[in-house]
Amino acid sequence: MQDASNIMRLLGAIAAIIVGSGGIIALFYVANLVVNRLPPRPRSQILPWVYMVPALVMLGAFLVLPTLRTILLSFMDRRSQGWVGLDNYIFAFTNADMLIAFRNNVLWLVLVTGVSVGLGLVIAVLVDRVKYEPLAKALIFLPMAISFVGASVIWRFMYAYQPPGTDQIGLLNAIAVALGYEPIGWLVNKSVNNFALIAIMIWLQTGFAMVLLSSAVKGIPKDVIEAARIDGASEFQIFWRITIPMISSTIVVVSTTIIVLVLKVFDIVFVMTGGNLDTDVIASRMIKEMFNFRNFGRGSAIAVVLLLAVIPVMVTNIRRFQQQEANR
Amino acid sequence: MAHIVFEQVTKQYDNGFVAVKDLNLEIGDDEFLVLVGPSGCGKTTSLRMLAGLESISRGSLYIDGQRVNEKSPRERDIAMVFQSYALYPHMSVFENMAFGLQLQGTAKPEIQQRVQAAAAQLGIEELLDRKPKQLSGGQRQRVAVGRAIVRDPSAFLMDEPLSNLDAKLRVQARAELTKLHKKLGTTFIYVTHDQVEAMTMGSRIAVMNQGILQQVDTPQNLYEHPNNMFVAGFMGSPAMNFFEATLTQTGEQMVIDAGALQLPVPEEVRSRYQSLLGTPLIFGIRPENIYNPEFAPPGINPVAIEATVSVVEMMGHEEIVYFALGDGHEFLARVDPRSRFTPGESVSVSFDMNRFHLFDKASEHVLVS
Ligand SMILES: Nc1ncnc2c1ncn2[C@@H]1O[C@H](COP(=O)(O)OP(=O)(O)O)[C@@H](O)[C@H]1O
Ligand SMILES: [Mg+2]
Repeated sequence: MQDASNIMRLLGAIAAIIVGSGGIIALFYVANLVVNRLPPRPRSQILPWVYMVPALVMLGAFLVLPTLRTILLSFMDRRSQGWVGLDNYIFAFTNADMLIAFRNNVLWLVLVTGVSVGLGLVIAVLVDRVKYEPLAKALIFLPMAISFVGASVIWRFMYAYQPPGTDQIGLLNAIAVALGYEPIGWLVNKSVNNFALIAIMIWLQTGFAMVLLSSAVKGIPKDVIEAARIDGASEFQIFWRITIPMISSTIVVVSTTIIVLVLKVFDIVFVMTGGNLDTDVIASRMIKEMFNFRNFGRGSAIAVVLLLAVIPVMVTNIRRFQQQEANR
Repeated sequence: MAHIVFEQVTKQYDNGFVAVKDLNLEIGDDEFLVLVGPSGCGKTTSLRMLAGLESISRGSLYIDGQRVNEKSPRERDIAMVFQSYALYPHMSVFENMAFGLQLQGTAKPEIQQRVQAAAAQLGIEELLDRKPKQLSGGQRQRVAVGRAIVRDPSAFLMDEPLSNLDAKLRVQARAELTKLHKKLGTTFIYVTHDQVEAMTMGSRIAVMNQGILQQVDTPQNLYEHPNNMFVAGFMGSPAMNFFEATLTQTGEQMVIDAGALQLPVPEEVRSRYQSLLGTPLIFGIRPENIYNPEFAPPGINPVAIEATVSVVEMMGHEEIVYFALGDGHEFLARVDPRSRFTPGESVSVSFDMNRFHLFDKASEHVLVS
């Protein structure tokens, strides 16, 4: 019985894929046929739209509408029944827990972006001169392949805490104890728990930063570096005055990508600490308000705040990208 | 000004390939030395060793009497113009030229003044605010030279700096570099695969082949007295004609016997050739030493040779003619444009027996030239 329904489900999924992708192909095919019948003048004006409209409809239905609805909900009460004006936003910017979340998010943004990009850059430049470069890069890149939840599970073991006197099963505390220190409650000690979480994100993102930056570093012509060397530049001066300016657009893109990722992060917090003990970030507050406390108004308001925070970053990114295209 | 000495310098790359072997070369204070040779012969490698960009496997390199094998590029006080120009793409022309001075800690007003002066010298003053991307090939080449001269180094190294320019610009840039050398009076070491560049620019030319230095001499001497078949064939375009030959003596007559070519040796020099009788030889003669008898100048020692015209290339100021001998051997001559040879025609041409070269067939080394 169970098996049969599973098979039915599988068949259903396959059918959906075939119908879905087949349908899209058919849609484009038919639209193309129709447009090609038109005289050339209107055709060249209509043709681009034929290809763009389906995508625009999808985006509208699944992205723009929900966004608009979220904005609407953010001005309503917890059940979305009455208007409350800016109350939810006032809550978002004044509530003590929210303020802690904001503080934590700033910490996350600065540390994750700064350290991952900085470390990624240094490794990218150093690894360029290492014999086993592919191996070294693969090792550093590997965490990228792990989901946030998976990484969190791994790090729970790293941070595991047992009372003093018992065997430490967490790697960090085992080292701490072996060196003669007291075991540290990495996830419960309020002075370190945020940093413990941030370290996980850095571990995950350094590889990403390194791989992109490394390919940018490799794109710098060898001649240019050698010209600088002949001009009398030390390796350090070459790094600051040639390498970094020449890959600055990649640095910006990598940084903004990581910033957006950090703004969205909640899984690590959720799995590791559940946001307790002052470790909440904005996104995890949003989930809590929305689904734990069932306050749709507040949840939506926080979501809108997050959205607004991302917009300038995206604008920078797009502008940078256009610049780069123009420079090609 | 720098006095540079390569002493038994060898470069073996990590993969075991020996790119330069036992290079011995002395370059004087204000010389314009051209390092020439076919692609892959080790010119760039030699230059990079001098610049300090490539380590030296064996031997010693001296600049002004000081052994510099272990010195970094910045300690050698040299400048280099790369084939790709290697301008810093994120810097303006001014910044490109100022970079080296900034690193030396030169004061701002002095940098300003020196960059301006160098730019004026090269006629690139109005380009100072542009980025390299906004420059033409010829302008980039000037900026690359400007970046080198602004530092006032003791030697300039140039690796095929003109090879990315079109033919007309190249001729112009050639003359400008020669002028620049005269004005600066500094050591220039110029790498090229183009023997015309070498001949026109070098005060001395070093010819390399397969990692081995073949000959170093003035353009004139190199052309007239090549050490071996490689140098003889490489310098000069079209290249020297070679024929396998032996020297034979019948009675009073001494003849260079190259099959269909039978060339009597001039009486005055016969005694010098006595020892070569019977040795397998290569006879070499340059295309310009073969004449159409109608337009042959006085003072040559003509020997008439019957040959068939196979191809004629009319160059305007001369005719390059491919001839075939009765035994199928081919040779090439640069003759007077009034000759108007036509393909298929059988003609008589004059070999100037005052201007030929004999090489040992086994060693390819010159015996007489
Ligand atoms: N890094 C390297 N490793 C191994 N072989 C090299 C390396 N660089 C150059 N070579 C080889 O050394 C020879 C000389 O190179 P190069 O000095 O660049 O020649 P040129 O400048 O005269 O054309 C070439 O055969 C080239 O393939
Ligand atoms: Mg080269």
